[in-house]
Amino acid sequence: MNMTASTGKRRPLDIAALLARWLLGGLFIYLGVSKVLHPEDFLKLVRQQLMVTNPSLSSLIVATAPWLEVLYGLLVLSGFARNTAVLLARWWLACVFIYMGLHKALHPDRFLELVQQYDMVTSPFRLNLIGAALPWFEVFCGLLLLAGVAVRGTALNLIALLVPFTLIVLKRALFIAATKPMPFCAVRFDCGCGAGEVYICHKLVENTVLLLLALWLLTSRGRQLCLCFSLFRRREPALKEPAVLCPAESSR
Amino acid sequence: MAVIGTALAFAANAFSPRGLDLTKNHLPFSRLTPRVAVAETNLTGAVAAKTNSPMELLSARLREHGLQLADSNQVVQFFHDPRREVDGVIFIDARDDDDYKAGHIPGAYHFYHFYPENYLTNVVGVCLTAQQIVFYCNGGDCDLSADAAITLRDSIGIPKERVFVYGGGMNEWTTNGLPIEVGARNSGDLTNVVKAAAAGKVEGARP
Repeated sequence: MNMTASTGKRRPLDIAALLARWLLGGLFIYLGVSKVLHPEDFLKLVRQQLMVTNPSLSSLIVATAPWLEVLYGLLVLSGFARNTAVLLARWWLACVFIYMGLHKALHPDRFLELVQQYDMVTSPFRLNLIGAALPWFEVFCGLLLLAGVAVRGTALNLIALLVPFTLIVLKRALFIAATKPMPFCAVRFDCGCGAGEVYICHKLVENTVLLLLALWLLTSRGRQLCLCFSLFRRREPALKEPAVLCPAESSR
Repeated sequence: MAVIGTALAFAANAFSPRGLDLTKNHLPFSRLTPRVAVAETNLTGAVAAKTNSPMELLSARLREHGLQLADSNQVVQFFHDPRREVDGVIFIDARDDDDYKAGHIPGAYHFYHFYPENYLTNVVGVCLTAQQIVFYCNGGDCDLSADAAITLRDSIGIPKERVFVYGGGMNEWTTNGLPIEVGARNSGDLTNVVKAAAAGKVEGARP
């Protein structure tokens, strides 16, 4: 990164980026280790939510996926092979949003009920708009990220989705914890994110990871395997060996 | 990009076979006022003694929408009512296809109100002739039964005094050891029968 050399004003941003990267790496390691320590919960998720019914395949996923998360966390933490790490982050985020979006899009009726439980929207028409558009919008963003089209704009959209959603889920969890009453981290409910019932603390960690990944994509310039990194801006400083296939950029 | 994404999202919803009809009120049984009021009361703890039980609250909410609550005793009476044999008393399961196939009250019809066109032909005739119609879903926070009751009552004009909502729902039915039919309606595949027979509750089960 040559920004520190060119201007000293960027230095605090670099420090913030470094801290965010460490946090992201740490959270990935935490998520991986928690799955290693509680394989039965992860197996349930794989079989019921991801609908992997084959016992051998589900066991293989349960045995390998958590360690891949730990490895990825170490990769992010170390700062080694950063371009590859950005590429994996983009694909991981894309897969998560495509899966969760499709899960909701194929069951919009259930999603509608879950949105209603937040008591945020009273008009049936507005509720329908959310139930109809939000799942497919997530799929759309996921596909753009997977293909590497308008990466920053897509990341910005995801941040705009994740921040209010996380706050709404947090508010609902606080409400449940106060009314039951029960410890905050024991609160478990279907937040409508597409992964079924989840413990709130785990959900908040997951959303923080997703948010940091989206922020990373927003600020990074890794263009590996991007079809068209930016739709409008043509003067992005390129990294080493960019694989940019967008006609507008490759013709420069 | 957000605008393009939103436009594409609405287009995908329009072309999806499970897409939502934007003009329709899919959740007519509004859950807003009573539930929020009680929750806020509980949060402050100030007037906790004045709050009603969940069933009383549900009954009040149902009354607001012109519906009647049926408790477990009433539902068992309906289930053993001889008129059930000739569809004078009917049960309607308001849950989705998967839940219905996993287990429903024996002989219950199926009506999932999000996609009424798929179910109306099977239930319109019997609903117009039945003297008592009991809607149910899983119970608890589930509002599907009330939503289905309102949708069906308003769309085909069932007199409101014939419509009941079983508040305890399938969860209470199962807990009470009553018989459950698996698969299609009148499949004859009954579970819970041993428990129900021991409790003398299987007599009315119709295979």
